[in-house]
Order: sequence, then structure tokens, then C-alpha cells
Amino acid sequence: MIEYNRMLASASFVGVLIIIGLPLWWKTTEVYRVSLPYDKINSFDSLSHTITAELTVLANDDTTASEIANLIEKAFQDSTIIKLRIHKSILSHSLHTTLDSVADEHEAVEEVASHFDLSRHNSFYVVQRKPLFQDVWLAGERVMFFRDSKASSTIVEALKGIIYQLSVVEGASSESADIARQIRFPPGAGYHVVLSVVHPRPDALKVDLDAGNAIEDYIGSFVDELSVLYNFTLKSQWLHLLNFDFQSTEIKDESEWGHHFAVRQDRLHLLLTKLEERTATHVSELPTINLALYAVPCDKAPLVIYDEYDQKISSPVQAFMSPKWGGVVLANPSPKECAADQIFRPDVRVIMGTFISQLRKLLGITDAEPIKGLYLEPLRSVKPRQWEIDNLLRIKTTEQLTSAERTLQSLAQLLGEISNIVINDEVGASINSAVESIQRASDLMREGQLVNAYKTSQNAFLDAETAFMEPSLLALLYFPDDQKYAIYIPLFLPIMFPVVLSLKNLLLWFRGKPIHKEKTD
Amino acid sequence: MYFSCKLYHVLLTVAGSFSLSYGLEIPKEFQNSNHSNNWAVLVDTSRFWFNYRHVANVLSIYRSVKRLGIPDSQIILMISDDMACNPRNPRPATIFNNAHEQINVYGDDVEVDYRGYEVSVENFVRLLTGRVPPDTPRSKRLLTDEGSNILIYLTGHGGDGFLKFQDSEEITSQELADALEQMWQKRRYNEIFFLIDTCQASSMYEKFYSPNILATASSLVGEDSLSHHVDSAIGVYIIDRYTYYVLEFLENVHPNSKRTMSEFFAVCPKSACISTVGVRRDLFKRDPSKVPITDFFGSVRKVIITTDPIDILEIPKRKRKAENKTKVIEKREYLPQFPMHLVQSTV
Repeated sequence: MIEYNRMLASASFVGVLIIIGLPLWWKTTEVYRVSLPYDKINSFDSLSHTITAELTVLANDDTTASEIANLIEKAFQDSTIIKLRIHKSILSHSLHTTLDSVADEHEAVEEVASHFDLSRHNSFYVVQRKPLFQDVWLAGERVMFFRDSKASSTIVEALKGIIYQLSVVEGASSESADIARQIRFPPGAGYHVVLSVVHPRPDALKVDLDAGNAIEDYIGSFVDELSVLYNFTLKSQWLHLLNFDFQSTEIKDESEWGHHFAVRQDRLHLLLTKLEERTATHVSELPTINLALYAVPCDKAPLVIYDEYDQKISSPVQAFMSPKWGGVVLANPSPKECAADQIFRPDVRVIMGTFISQLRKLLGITDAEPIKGLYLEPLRSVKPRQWEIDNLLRIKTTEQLTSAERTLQSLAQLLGEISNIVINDEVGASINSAVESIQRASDLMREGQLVNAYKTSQNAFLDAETAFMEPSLLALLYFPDDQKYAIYIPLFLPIMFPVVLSLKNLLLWFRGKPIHKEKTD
Repeated sequence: MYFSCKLYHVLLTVAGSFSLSYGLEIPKEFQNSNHSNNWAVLVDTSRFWFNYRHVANVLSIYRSVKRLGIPDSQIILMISDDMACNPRNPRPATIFNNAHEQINVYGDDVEVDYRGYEVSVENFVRLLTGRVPPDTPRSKRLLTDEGSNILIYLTGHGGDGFLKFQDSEEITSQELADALEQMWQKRRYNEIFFLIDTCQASSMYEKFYSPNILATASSLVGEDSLSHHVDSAIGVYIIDRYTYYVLEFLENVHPNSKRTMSEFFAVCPKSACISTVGVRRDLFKRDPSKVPITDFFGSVRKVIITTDPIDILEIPKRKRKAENKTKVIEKREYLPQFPMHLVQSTV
């Protein structure tokens, strides 16, 4: 009977510890991980994205149209990223005659616009117009005029280098950053644009500038055109008494002043550091594009930038920019303003024109090299050219997709390497939604729906970022395996040892064998 | 006698030879760095008054990078104890690099981002990988991108393969290498210069496997990093040898100076340091003798002159949306303290 009770006790220990306890312990210490689409994430490598773009060739006769269309098609055949869907047709008789008779190219553009929808993103028209001074003419609208079939090579060159900028779009997905990517801001949900008017000597000079309205009118009108891409927040501020020593040297010249102050280019980056101390642009969560207008004090005016070869820079404005940071304009007062009323009224039009030029590059609009035989109408307003916006959409879509894919792949690799990273439901949802968005954006790109593709790729990018940067990923990282054993062994070993040993006795007892050998003597 | 690190020589010291591998000669155009900004992460991991010298170490580097142009917003300073205000400090609000009080490395303004018990392995790895809690202020984040050069300086007590944080936890060289790999995968840096002053310091960078990292350490595996000298007025060792000579070197570097990284590696010969300075350059693509020191210690940023301003002919006028300017609150006045108007009416 005692034997029976002892075995019962032993069996209940085994039952609690091994049959209930072990699975319970296993279950409760499991690292929680939502199942993730690893195969999809790993297959991103081979997935190369192509963007389909619409191109319409309109010519006076059938042979010219097909000749040009064929040449363009051939030129874009080996492009890995942009696939053109080329339509060719003959100009209707009425449009043909109007195009040949109107005096001005801009009127011609209006005529084309009345027949075709030029406001559609991702479309472009190559139209023949006989009375043209150049081979090819290009302005801000999604139209390019050409004279005759002899201009075909210029057309192809312009499409490759200016309209579609193949090298820049390809550079957006490349492993290492190309020049354009080194300058433009990385993708994000939105940007703050902060105009800081720097006024080092408020006691000596009065600066009359309505910074708030200037940024609103000029920069505001510019960013309104890019509202399909980003949310912008515009701010302006004044920074007084920011002393920066340019270490400029006075040089006599023939100007109204009789001298100018030369500042070397390699000194300018220190101004950025000085500005950063004061601009306080770190208050917001979003990245900030800094625009700084430095009102040069009268005793240092005019300040002229000298390049690394010690030559005066040839530019109507003294200005510079720093990649991924922003731009600075040095505003020199005129001798009259310094002498008489001591009120400096900076020329808003020129200053803002410079800021816009800098902003374009910082946001990713690159100016292409001029092409022989092509007349590109210079910008005369703050608005970017329509086809520049289309191309920016292509660049940014590619960049965001590539970034999202790399982030997810990096995360997948990390999860494989380190086993005790928790993936909770939220992170899992972000990853799944990012994967879905990547695939949808890729499909939309192939279909040529550029704006939708951009929005989807932005979602993919933001979701992937959230998933990778989720703080909970590090939750269990500092409880490595060796420390687990340090806890479990002293806790469980003394209990488990007798329990495991008693298993043998239990088994023997079940089989009805004697447990203790009776002493023979 | 020199104050050596606490002995962590539990593990066998590997007496393997330390090999340096020199990459192929790279064309001249690749020698220029294409970074667009500079960041510094400076960490002192040890507490308590007898570790005064570690605070002096980290502040020496802080002082130098700040002087060479990295703004405070791009320096993450982690100090686990406050020596300047320690009650045992006979000269409050100062930390010197020398018993003769040559340089007060505490300076006028020190912006400490992580202090006291905030200096933990978890926070350090969170900082590097960017996985900070969402309510972390921007000044406590490492907001680097693919164009950032980062200087990482660590000081404290280390052993073979680990660095101790706060007497309670350690970061292992593998954890650190993994964190850096995550940074590389996430494109959080262009190049990293990793600088460490602890015992057996070189063990911390041996596990690195991510590209574009240049690393140097105050001592090889099996060696102690030693302190420079004691200040009998405060009763503790005041600075470590390696950082003492580094500071001496950096004091003579100016923002536009052309000193190179290979000069930096030679700052502390064995006769001065007693320990051997270790260098690892196989992950780094450029030739250190052509890399200016300001690529990591300063903030020399690329400047592009704008020569093509847009000549705006149409003056734009933006349609004003609903005014969202902050309303200036009407000024209110206090009522007179004594109700004179009541008095006047009764008269």
C-alpha cells in the first residue's frame, strides 16, 4: 500500500512537471512571430520594374510618322526601366494647316492642346510643325515639335536625355548613389521648407523684406505644382545677430563700390554649420529643406564668391547649395542703400528665382545637358515643366520601390540571423501591407498609371520603414541563449533530476516487477 | 604604476598575429569622399568616480569634433556619470585632460543626449539601428542617411570581445558588428570611423563584416590600455594614454587642415601608449593616407555654387487658403488695484 502511494505521488509529479509543465513552458517562452511572406520578399531580387509611358507621334505624312516612331522604338528597346507605348498617327488636315500657319510656337502648343489632352500625366506628344527655326523645339508642356524626319536623331536624343532621363531613372534603383541621388533629398512623406532670413547687423542696416509672403507666393506656387508628390509645409523666420566670419579679402575693382570682398568657396560650408546652430529645424519630425537668405552687412558688401581656382564665379547672384541640406543666397545691398536711407530692400524676384533653382535640384529635378539642334525654352516662371513632374514621379516611384524592397530584404535576413526577434501583429501587418503595395505599385507602373503607382510605392516605402524601425523588434534581443540557461538550470535541474530518475521506478512498477531487490542475506 | 583596466582576463588571450590587409590601389577620383554630412556618436560606458578618466576621454573627442565643425545636433553624446558635478570633484564644473589643468574639456556648453542609466546597451543599439521609441526627441536620434560619415568613439572597460556598460551589462563584439550591419543594410551610413579606447580594444572590431568601416583601437587583444597620469588633487587617474595623445594631435588640426587618417593612426606609438594601437582597414575602400581627418572629425560639406537662377518673369501670386496664422491674442489689462472710479463717483 505504501508502495502504491509512493508510486502515485511519483506519477503525479511526472504528470505535473513533464506532461503539463513542459508543453506549458515551451508554449509560454515561444518567440511570437507572425508568419511572413518570405518567399515574396526574397523574390524581389529578380523582380525588375518597368514603367510604361505613353508617347504619341503626330506627323504630316505616314512615312515620317512611322520612320520616327520606329527609330524611337529601337532606341528605347534596350532600356531596362522605361518601356514606351508608341502611338503614331497623321495630323488631321485642319490641325496640320493651323500648326503650319500660326506664328508662334506657344500658339501652336495651344492648338495641339485643344485637340489632345496634354494635362494627362505620363503622356507625351511629338508633333511635326514645318515652319520651325530649329530641328526640335521643347517648352514646359508635354509637347515637342520637330521640323521634319531629318530631326529624328535629335528627337531620340532629347527623349532619352531630357524627357525620360534614362540614366537618372536607372540611377534611382542602382546600388550606389548617382550624382542626382547624392543631391536630392531621400524619399519621405513630406518636407518642411524653412526660409531663414539671416540678418547679422540689425543695428547698422534695416532690411525690408516680407519673408512670409515671399515664401508663400513663390515657393508656395512652386510646391503647389508638386502637390501630387509631397505635402509641403512652408515656414519663415528671421535670425538676427548671427555673426559669421567669412574671412573675406578686400579687392579693388571698377564697380560702383570701388571694391568687393572675396570669399573663398572652401569657407562656405562653415556658414552652414553656423546656421544649423540657430535655425532650429530639428523641431519637426519631417526632414527640413533649409533656405537661407544672408543679408550681407554694408561694411562687408559686396561679397563675391571665388571658386577653388580663385576665380570670381560668373553668376548674377551669389548663391550656393549643399546636397540634402538646402540653399543659401548672399544678398548684397547696393551702395545707395548703404549710403542714404540705410534700408536694404532685397530683390525678391531674383532671390526667389535662385531658391527655386536650388529647390528643383534638391527635390530631384535635374537639368540636362543641352543638345545640339534642340531649342529648350528657358524657365520663366516658378512652375516646373510638366514633363519634369512626370519624370520626377518616375524617379521617385523607382526609388521608393527599391528602398522598400531593400528594407524588407534586410529585415528578412535579420530575422533569419537572430531567432529571438519578436514580430508582433502590427509589424506583421506593416510588412504584409508593404509587400502588397510593392506588387501593386509594380503592376500599376507596368500599366502606366504613374500617379497611382507613385502613391502606392510611397505607402510601400513608409510601411517598410515603419516595420524596420519598429522599437519592439529589439524587445528580446538582450536575453540571449546563454543567459536563458543561466536561469533555467538552477531552477529546473534540482527538481527535474529526481523526477526523471523516478521514471525508471514507475515503469518497473507498471510492469509489475519488483522495484527493490530484496536483500539476500 | 599605471592604473590598468580591471582584469577581465578570464578568457584566453589569443596570441594570434594581427594582420592588416591593404586593398589594391584605387584611382585618384575615388579618394574623395562623397559624404554629405558628418555625425559623431561618443559613448562613455562606465560609472563612478574612479572612472573619471573615461569622462575626460569622451569629452576630449567631443571638444575636438565640435571645434572642427560638427554641430551639436549631429553629435550624440552618451555619458554614464556626471564627473563635473560629482561631490568629490574639488573643482566643480570642470574636467581636465591634465593634472596641470591645461585644457578644460568640459568647456562652456556640453549637450549630453543620454546620461546616467540611459546609457545602456539597449539604448546604444537602438540609437545605431534607429529603432528608438516613437516619442524620442530628434536630438536623441541618429538621423543619418546613405551620405553620412559617422565617427563612433567608445571608452570604458572592455575585455576580449566585449565592452562593459554600467557595471551591469555588456555589449559583445558580435552584437556591435550586427548592429553596424543593420545600419549598412538600411543605408544609414556612407563610411564609419570606429575608434575605441578600452583594454583589449581591438577585439571589438574584429567581428565587423560590413563595408566602409575604418577602425582603430588603443590596444590589441591581450593588452591593457593604460591611463596617462594621476592628479593627486582629485586622487584619480585623469585621462587614458591613447586619448591623451589623440587630443594632443587633434588640438593642432584645424577645419581646413589637410592632415590624413594615417597620421592619426600614428599619434600614439608604443613608446608613448605602452599598448599597441590596432588598425583595421580591410573593410575600408579608400587609402587612409589620402583621407583627410576632417572627413570624420569635421563637418566639411559639399558646396555647389548656384549659377543658374531662374529669371522669373511672371510674378506668382498664390491663392491664399484659409488663414492659419496664429492669432495674436488681444492684450488685456489689469484692473486698477484700488477701485478709484468707485471712490470718484462718491465724492
